[in-house]
Amino acid sequence: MELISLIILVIFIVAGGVCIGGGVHFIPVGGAPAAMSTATGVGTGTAMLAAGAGLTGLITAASMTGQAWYLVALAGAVGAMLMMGITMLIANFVYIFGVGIVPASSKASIDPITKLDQDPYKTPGTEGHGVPTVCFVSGIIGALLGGAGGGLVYYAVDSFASASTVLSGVDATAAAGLAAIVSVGIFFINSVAASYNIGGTIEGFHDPKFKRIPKGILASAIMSLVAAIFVILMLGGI
Amino acid sequence: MDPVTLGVVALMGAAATIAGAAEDLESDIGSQSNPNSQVQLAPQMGHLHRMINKAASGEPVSYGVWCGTAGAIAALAISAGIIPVVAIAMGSTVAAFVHAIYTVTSHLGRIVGQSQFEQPLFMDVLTQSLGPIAAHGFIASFGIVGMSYLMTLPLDGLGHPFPLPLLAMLWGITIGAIGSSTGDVHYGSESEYQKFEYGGGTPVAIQGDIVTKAPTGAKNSIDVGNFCAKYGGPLTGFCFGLIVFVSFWITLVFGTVPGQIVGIVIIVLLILGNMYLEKFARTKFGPYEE
Amino acid sequence: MAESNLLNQNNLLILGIVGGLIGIYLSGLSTIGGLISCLGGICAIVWGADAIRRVASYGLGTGVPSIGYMSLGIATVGSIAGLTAVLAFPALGGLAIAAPILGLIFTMIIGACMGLVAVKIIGMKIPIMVRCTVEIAGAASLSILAFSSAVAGGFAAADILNYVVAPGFIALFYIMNCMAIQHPYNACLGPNEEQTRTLKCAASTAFLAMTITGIIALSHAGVVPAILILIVGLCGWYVSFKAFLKASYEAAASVKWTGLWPKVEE
Repeated sequence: MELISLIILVIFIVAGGVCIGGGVHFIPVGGAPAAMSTATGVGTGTAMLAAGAGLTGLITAASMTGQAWYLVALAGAVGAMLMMGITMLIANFVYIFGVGIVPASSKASIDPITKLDQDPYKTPGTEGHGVPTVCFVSGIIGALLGGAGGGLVYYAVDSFASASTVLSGVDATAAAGLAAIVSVGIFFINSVAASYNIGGTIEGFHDPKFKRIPKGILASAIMSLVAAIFVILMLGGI
Repeated sequence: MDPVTLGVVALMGAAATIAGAAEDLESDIGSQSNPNSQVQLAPQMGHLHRMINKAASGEPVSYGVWCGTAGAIAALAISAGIIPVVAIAMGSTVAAFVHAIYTVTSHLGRIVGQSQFEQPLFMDVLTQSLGPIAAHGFIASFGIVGMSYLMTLPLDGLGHPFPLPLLAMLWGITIGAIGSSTGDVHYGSESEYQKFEYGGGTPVAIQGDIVTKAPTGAKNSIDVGNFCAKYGGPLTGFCFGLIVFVSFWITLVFGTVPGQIVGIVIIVLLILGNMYLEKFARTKFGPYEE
Repeated sequence: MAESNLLNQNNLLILGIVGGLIGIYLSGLSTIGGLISCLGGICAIVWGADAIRRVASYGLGTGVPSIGYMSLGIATVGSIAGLTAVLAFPALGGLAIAAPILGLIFTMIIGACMGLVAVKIIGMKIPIMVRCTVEIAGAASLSILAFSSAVAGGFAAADILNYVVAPGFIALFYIMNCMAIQHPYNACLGPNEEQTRTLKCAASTAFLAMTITGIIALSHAGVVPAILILIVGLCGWYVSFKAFLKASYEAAASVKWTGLWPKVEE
């Protein structure tokens, strides 16, 4: 295989990995406290919500197999954003009508998007609750990056695997299966690295913890580069 | 647009709705995922209970395992010539057994792991809840694997390139993430803290003080299922059904590229809908008085 | 934590690596190859569960499972690369026999990078992070390779691609082994957790995974080897589950089949 296609593979995997790792920082998760309406955000773990959105994106991206790379990435991004958007909206339905609370952020006293004040709507003794608009938009951005990143990694590995001599003697479906499981692996490596960097919970881009994102991106870039080298070892081409 | 494909996509949405509702109710009865932190905390705070403590990983990984198992066995059975409905039921049955075994180990492990707080190991709690847990898990994995199988059918606009076990595992992880983000909040914020006033979050000071008594005797995990079946469970099902349906409907009806644009329009509508919902709640509920 | 360890971590490491590799290398034997390979996978899972136990007792901030599925991600990339590298690079043709070892080494290299990134760049303050990430990833790699070889009837790359990756069974091994490795410590977590009970639980989850592998092995390995894996897996599960149940009954504050909780002073 030509050197240029190798370079493109590495660029796509690293760019995809950075998108995944960076995207996780945007997703508003409050972990266990959010499930008790004690903290703002969606009531689950960082890596898990990112995985749910990213893997939905991977499924929609893969249904575009054979199209250009930007379409695969776009389909991944749209699938992930739809999953994240609907999930956060329904979560707010549960918070508002099931628990009877107003979505309120604790990290921003005024919502930077709607300009609504947050503090009076916070239950005393809690760190906010629900998914206010700023967190919602942040989550959509996170899903956009995560889904597009997953789509890019899938596209790169799939097109590389289809052209590889390694898979010439085996079943034609092996390329898609291999690309999928490798993308899932790279997705989890990056999303867990990012969630280690966040340290559990984050509200979105307005959270002070968001300032840690350069470290998270560096970590994702290094890990994606390492993974890309092993993908080359896996499928050959030098 | 092929009307048959559209019908199949609608069927996928229906299967996803049922699977989503069953998944959430199962995780409420089994007390899985984040709300379980309170069941775990309660004995330490002096509140002994008769609840299941099922810490079988987070929901996404555990549902990945149940659905992956069901999908792999279903794929095997289909390739052996068994008709798909029966094959998927066979896979889901094995998955239900695996699910029940993991439930037993995590309940035993977690309760015994904190024996210094005098929390007794109630075996009758386990035996009475095991049936509903495995049964709801069966419905969820049947729905997910069925939906994944429909996705792989060689129809115009479907025919997903991933093999069945892989698709089932990916959707399993997704449904776990959705269930723990939406329906579980109803369990964690409301069912566990029902004795406190409706209309507020859970202050840190009362954490661990979960409801342990029911109208007659002790509250058990089946009571939780009955409570959450009224709101959290159906809403989770609606959420997952909508995600599955919309993400395929857009490309099917509008075509590959325009479909993505329609998807983005829907996302903008979701953001606006959330803003409207937030404002509605603010005017309806008002601020907390000092 | 160290005082409560009855089993030495180095002994478990040797058990995992040696047992796992022996299992994978004997997977080509007719009839009993798959069985031996699965037993090797069980050694690897028990080793991995102990490594999870050591690192997660420091508190990762993201829950116990996260390090499990990250390590499995590392292991899938590394082990498949190890298997297919000899196909991809004809110059390495002579190393075909070393493919499983290559997979283990590749995985451990990625694991070491991840551990170093976590400690040096992200700044996690867990002294054993690097060593444990390498160990968990290594255990995950051996368990995936062992179960895959049992299904494919050997560790030849083409067979594994055809009979494990193409039908998607690799996804099941990914998530099922992740659960088997991280579940024991996650389930037994608490102030009164102890190593032997956790490892009994690890043996039971590992044998459960082996039983499922036995069913999957019907796809290619043939009926007799598959049934053999299934039956030995079920027997092993029964014995280890009984042992875990007994240990739990003995360590519980009290075991009740009915009634309310005792009164305690608040």
